[in-house]
Amino acid sequence: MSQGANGASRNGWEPVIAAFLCNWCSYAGADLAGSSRLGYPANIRVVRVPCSGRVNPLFVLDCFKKGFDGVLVAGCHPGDCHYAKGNYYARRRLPLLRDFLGYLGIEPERVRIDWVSASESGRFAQVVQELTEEVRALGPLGWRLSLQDWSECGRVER
Amino acid sequence: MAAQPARLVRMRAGGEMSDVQTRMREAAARLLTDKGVSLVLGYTAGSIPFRTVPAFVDKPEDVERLVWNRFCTNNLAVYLPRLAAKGRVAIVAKGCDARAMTVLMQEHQVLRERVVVLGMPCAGLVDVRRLAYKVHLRDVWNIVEAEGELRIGTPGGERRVPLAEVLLEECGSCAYHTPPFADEMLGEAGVILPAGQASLAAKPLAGPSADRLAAWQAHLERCLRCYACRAACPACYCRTCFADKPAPRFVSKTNRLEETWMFHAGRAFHLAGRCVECGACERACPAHIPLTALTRALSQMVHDRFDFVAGIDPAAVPALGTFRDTDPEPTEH
Repeated sequence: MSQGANGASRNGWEPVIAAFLCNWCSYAGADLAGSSRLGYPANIRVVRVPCSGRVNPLFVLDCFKKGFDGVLVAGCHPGDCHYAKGNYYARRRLPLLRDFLGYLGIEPERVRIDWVSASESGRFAQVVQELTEEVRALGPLGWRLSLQDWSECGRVER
Repeated sequence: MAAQPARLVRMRAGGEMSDVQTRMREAAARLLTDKGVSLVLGYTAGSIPFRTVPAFVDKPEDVERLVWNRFCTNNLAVYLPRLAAKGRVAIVAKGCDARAMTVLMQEHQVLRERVVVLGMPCAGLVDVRRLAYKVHLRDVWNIVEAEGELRIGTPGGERRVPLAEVLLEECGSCAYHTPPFADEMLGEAGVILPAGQASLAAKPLAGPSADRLAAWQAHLERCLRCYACRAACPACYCRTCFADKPAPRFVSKTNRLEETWMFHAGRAFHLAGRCVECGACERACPAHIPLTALTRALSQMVHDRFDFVAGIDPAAVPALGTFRDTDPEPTEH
């Protein structure tokens, strides 16, 4: 994937990344990053969930099905979960899903599971920056398209 | 694989009986007569020599229908949640079937006291698709097993095929020939290898990601969405499958590749730590999609990450239903 000087790809493709952020920690951290005017790539689409343990693996699969290039799931640090143990379940099932996606041919680098607390605005910006650059380097997901049009409802607009 | 003493075993309906088959019929008759069970779940001869079909025997005089041979491939545990809900059921169980039943017990779909497990010493089953490469299936009049080969009577005379060449691939890497527990064991126990070795020989698709994605897309393109895989699988017992729920809609009914991918990826992940690699899904698939490759890869990952094998201990908690403080952090790649 060729890159221009500002990091954008030459043919204008920009990664589209879904970000599942838990209400109590990572979403608040993202909010703080915004209020503090820290810059981070605008490639993420945020979905606020009550807890990283709420993230059904089917959500992640659904994102890739719909054409997202990457997925971020960010929750509270282990031990700090607002619901005590939700992130522990996420810590089991989401890395397993990432490995499984690797087996299916979707690079595991497209899925990032991380812990960002409400005060870690700088860290949030950094995580998004890193993931965006990784996914940009990987390029768009190589689905062999069916003959139908991309612009049907439910698909990511390009 | 356990070495079988050489003996002639006819596998046609109404043929001579093997020791194990006789003992199985006697046990079934006894259980039905003593009112220990109201139903015996087993196999009976199909309409052709290399097929059996599930049998539901509720009268002692009908136990002669029950057979045991190398074509008893169905996973009978799929019937247990409904059948064992009302009364006690005896099940003719191979190792894989009994492990599937154990998964159902772990998930409280089947009560242990409602099932009488008749443990069968399985030494591998025949893959009819592989057999079809050796002989025209329509020419098969009868099949006899002797000295490690199948002797097939055809119009053109007898054909001999080494068993090793027609065994199911799952059987070749099975470490659980006999059930982890049984109320009655009906034959000599098979060799059990330590878990994680031969049991979970995943079939990784080698090569870069893009090739793997394309390879799986090529396989899944053949899918008709008949859901035979789901119907055959004992672990798929949800009253409304995620693929059929309109809200949230994860899988559309249209036969687009991405929807089919979503169904198979979702179903495989729902089987993480629950699939016992019996192969029923792949055998049921009319499009010959290598479904066990998906689930076996995931079983290997579950074993490597959580040191867990599905369906061994009925009191165990499923791998994704629990966690440890010492679980590894989601480190990058």
